[in-house]
Amino acid sequence: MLPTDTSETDIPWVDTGVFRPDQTGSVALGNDVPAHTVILEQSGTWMLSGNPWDALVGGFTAREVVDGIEPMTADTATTLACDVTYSMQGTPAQGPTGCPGCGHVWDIQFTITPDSVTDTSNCNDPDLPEDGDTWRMGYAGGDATIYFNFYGTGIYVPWWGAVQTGNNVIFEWSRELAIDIPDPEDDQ
Amino acid sequence: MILALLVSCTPQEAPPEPIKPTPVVDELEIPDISGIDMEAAFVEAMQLLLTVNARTPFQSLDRSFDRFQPGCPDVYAGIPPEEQADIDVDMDAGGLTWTDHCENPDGGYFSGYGWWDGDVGVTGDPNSSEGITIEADREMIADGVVGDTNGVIFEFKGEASDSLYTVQADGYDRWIYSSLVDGTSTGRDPFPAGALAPAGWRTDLYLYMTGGDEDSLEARGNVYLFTGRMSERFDSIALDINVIGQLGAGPDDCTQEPLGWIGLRDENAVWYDLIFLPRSEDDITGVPYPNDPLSECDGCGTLYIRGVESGEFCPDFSFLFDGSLQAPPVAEFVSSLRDLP
Repeated sequence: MLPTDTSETDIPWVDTGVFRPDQTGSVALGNDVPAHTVILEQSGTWMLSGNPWDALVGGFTAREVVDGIEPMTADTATTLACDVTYSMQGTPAQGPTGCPGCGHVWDIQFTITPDSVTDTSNCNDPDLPEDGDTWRMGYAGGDATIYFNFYGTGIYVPWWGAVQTGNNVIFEWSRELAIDIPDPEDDQ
Repeated sequence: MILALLVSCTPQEAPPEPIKPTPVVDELEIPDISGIDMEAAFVEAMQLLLTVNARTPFQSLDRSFDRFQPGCPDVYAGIPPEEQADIDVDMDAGGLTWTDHCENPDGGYFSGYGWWDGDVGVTGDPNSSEGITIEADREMIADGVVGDTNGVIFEFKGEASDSLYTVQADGYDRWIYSSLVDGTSTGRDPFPAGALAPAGWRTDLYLYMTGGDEDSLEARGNVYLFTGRMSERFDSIALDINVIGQLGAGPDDCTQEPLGWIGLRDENAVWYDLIFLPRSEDDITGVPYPNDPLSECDGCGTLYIRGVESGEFCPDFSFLFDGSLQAPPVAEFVSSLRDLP
């Protein structure tokens, strides 16, 4: 005859029901720190000529520095993965442009120069001009900004901080982003 | 003796199974709808589902940029490491991702992640006979919350994508907007006081609408409201519907009545399905096509409650083509790194 256990169970009751959180907005905070960062740097100059201005030439560089490391090119023959140099040629935009507060607006053709270190294929900025692209851009001295007619949509987006001195407009912009650099060993 | 052995070897018959009493099935109760303006309820549902599209999470994402501070949240070029956010897109996917579990000094917090990407293209010349064409699309995958000391500002979990196509030329205008949202959204930014969905929704709704020289609306999927009730009774919509406006309608098209069906669910999980003209022969179940009473282009559908035919109802969806369907401005699709503070 099997013994009968008459003592109380010490096994806690287990709820096997489906758990339904009643507050989906509750969050556990900390502060994630990215393992790698990239600084996107863009700078350049417009040089205007004519009276009134009827031509623009200039140069523009886009570089991306990962984890703050600038390769010593001369010593190691390594380069940044994204280090693009453009030349620019512009003509005045015709007709009303809609560029907010712009004193002058240009149709500018970007050409990647033969001595550019890289092309744009490894750049993280998705909005770099491709070789031969023509962008409509305008300079608004009031807010020290160069605006970009975003891919011809008619929407002018503040693109570069800029200052005009005489016939020269000097511009620059930078942004730091986190970036994922897969461990090469993970691919093996 | 042999007989005795035979008898003893005969397998014993199993005792007969006791006959179970036939369960008494209560006849399904058909809810009383005499006090409900069902036509108004279906119109309200149609108005609400027009607001359930990808614009909602994208607009809230855009406004949440104002709360971004350096390092909180972290913003990745492309997608972050998988352990940070498991986003099911190609490794080489572009776009940007915010991800973190952080709080800023102003009390604003971010938890989770949100990836987004988009593209805008313009071709042609508005002064040419071909006109100007704009094509834009964007996509979001997220499981994140943006909040502050007053609670959740914006939460989205799931995927949202939409696209816009416009052609404008002298004397010609056409636009197409389509949206697919498969996700859940809450928060006081997308759903402020007075919103048709006061506490948000869960949905898998697909919308496809056209305007300009051709008016039409296609909607397919489900919408569930967390709070708030259509006509103070219904919490969900399920539908597969195609509405054709006067502009661009073919000679055989019915502009008085949608094709397809729309269903509402009450809080007791009873569905009220209003069946209009069949969209195709696949829509016909049980009744061979053509079925004259169901196929009449009269603006009326047949209501089924728990599958029981419960009368004809004629909701007026004409508001759809009096300006309610609007293409989103292309500016909503303009997105770049410059948006970030």
